[in-house]
Amino acid sequence: MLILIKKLIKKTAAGNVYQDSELQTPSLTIGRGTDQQVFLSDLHVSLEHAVIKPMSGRKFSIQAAGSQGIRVNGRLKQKAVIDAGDTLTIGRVNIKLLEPDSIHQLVLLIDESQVAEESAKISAIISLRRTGATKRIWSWMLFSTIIVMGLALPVWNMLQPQKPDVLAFIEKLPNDDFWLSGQLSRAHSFFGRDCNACHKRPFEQVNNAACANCHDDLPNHANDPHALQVSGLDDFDCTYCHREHNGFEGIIATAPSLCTDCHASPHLGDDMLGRAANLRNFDIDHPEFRIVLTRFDDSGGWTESRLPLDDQGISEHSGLVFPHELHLDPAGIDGPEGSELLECTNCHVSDQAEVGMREISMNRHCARCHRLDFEPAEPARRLPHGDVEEVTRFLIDFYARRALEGGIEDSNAPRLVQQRRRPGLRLSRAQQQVALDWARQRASQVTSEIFEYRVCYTCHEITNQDGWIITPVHINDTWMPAADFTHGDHNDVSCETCHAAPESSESTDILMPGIAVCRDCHGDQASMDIIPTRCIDCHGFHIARDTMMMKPADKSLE
Amino acid sequence: MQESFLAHKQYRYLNLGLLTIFASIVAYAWHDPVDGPNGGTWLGYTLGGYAAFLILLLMWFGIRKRQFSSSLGTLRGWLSAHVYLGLSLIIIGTLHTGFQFGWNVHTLAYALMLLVIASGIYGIVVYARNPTLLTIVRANTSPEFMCRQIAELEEQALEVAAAIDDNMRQMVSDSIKNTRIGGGFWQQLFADRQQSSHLEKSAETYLSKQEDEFSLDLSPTDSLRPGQLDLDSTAVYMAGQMSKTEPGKQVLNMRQLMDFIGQRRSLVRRLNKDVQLRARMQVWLFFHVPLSFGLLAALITHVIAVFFYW
Repeated sequence: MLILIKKLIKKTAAGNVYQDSELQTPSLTIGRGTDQQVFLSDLHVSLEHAVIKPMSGRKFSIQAAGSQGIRVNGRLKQKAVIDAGDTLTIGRVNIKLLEPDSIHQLVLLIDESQVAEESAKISAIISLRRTGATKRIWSWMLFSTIIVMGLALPVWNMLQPQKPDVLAFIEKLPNDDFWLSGQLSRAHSFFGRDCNACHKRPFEQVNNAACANCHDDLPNHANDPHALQVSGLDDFDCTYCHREHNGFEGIIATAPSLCTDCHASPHLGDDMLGRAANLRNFDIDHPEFRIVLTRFDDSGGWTESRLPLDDQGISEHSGLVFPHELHLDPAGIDGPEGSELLECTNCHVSDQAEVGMREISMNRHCARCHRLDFEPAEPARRLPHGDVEEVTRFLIDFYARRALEGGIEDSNAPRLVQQRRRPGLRLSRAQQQVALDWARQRASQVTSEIFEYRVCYTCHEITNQDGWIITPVHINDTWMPAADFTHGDHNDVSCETCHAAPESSESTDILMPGIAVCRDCHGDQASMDIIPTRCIDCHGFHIARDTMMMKPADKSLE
Repeated sequence: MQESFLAHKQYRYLNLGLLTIFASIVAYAWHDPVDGPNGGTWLGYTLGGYAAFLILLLMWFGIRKRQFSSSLGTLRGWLSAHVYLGLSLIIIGTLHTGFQFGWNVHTLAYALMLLVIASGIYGIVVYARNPTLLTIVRANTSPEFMCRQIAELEEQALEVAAAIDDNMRQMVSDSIKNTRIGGGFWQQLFADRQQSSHLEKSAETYLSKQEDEFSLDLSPTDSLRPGQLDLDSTAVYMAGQMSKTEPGKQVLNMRQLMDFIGQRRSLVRRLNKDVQLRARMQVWLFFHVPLSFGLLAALITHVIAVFFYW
């Protein structure tokens, strides 16, 4: 066969320079030996490295002589069938089989330039920068992925509620869910998917109008001066206090700073906030509690005053005489069935909600012992309770009947009254007059007794000003109307812990605990060793007790 | 001694970083917003704004270090600031979050920031450590010079081997081809793990001794096949050959060949160690830089998203 061997001499920008030689041989030997038909000087090549022989058609066979093998198109082989287009690598020499022309059956292109390029090639594999690793592509990929998925698509998705049909197959494009900064409050979460329900316009803060969409006419808020009592909040946004995306209960403002923003501000002094000025905390700044005291004044009306518990000479005027000490005597107290021990709960019973106490009533709580009997001869008869006039009339009637019936065991009484009479015997007018005179006198005497030293007098404050006057009774019910206190939450402490009743000998004693008592257990919000307490644990936010969210504001107040 | 970038201007940026961290922590502890600490309070905006400014400033370092004509501070100063202010972001960024995390773009930005800083910390460690090691490994040469030396030694070894016989030449040729120098991305990073052969241990012993004192348990060569040959086993094989050959010129050739192969081997090891040290000094940037751009995207998204739905 006739072979054309093109040896690459030089690579230039203008083109490659080849040295051609022709060879007529039945088989072609390749090696480093000088006897080889294709002589390769590269020392990686064996003396007799390979032999190429023609096969049928345009194919040739190549057989490696030694054990080193030949790389055919990069693959190491001992023998192979080769064709035009294949590349052989022997040592560091590349031999390419070109398309045969009309004269030559085999055209070889021998390229030994790799030997020279070897060191250049090595440098490519000793530097990370030349391995093809790239910071730029990864940077762009990461940057654009995040911008597209996190910003562009959500914005587009929001601005185009109606998706083009081509995108209909994508169920969920990246949307503004990715932006959700925190869990919505429970009340708002049902429309939480729709950010625009509150965020009306891009790059604009949520305003009051968005809230008022649902919470129109909300009572006891900034637009309600009657409930707020301060008008300083008129210009405030809802979001100043009610912060969304803070969890299920996050919208309910509980932080003490909500209050102390104003109440601790040195700019809003005493003249604006009064006693509630300069309040930074519960454990030091909070003023002494003020209690409501109601008393019946001399002019005949009720006066209500709020006085701090540390006020000197503060006393209660319930109109009753009730020494707690006596009733709670640990040695016992005389009862209808003998000596008995009383406890607080015998009289003071929690109301249904365990907030305060049920009303004290004569019939339920006192009458079992204080029975209002007045006449030893008839111990079963009791005075009516509650009306001085009625009591007076009752006594006259009672003694008139007794006198007319006769048989009174009283040596000072007229004989007629002492005499026992047969039933049905009628007295003359004169006799009746004598009996009724005695009855009137006796009734007047007993009336004086019960108002001056027994029965009524035992419990009531009574004066005589042209007639007996019993001071109207007022048993205080709500002592601290501004405090959100429930007895139910304090069941695990005894009554005496807060109320010093067992030591109280006077009914004028105030038995309400001062703030010092609370501070034994309750501290500031940062307290570690006692119960951390926030403003709103006891106080509502300028609101009346009985109003709820969503309830229309009472227009009549305006 | 030249001042390190870490100690630049008596730790000016370390002090600045510590100062801002201290101020942030104090402000955070003092601040008591209605809805708890979060990124939307005035302090949150302040910390976030400062952190965003820092991120942009730190990323500008990538531009500044290419501006050789810039007179805006020294490059060492920039690097010092880059390191310390970047580290201060761990605290400032975390306080900005108010410890509120979720599956959203906001936490993505935070997480990317931490990853960038983590890769940067790795960078500081290798920049502080590897140059010294490189100096030791290179011993006043350069990788390129080592490459040329290796290539020369290969040529010489092949010539001497060819002079012995073709079998020996082929063996040397094979072992040269089977020796790995550097390699791809991961191969460069773990270049020191490439010196493996079943005679690794013997080779270690071999290398630890002076070449002229070479005495090794000369194992028979039957178990060695050309495809498996590497420099270690070739050296052992040749030592075996040497003991069998007649004294004379061949022995001389063999000694010379051993010398070349031995030199080449130690050069390859040094070069591979060099490659690895440099690769490890560079590799973190392949994470640091793309993650930084990811962070930039997440930061832009975070800021726009926050104010889009203000």
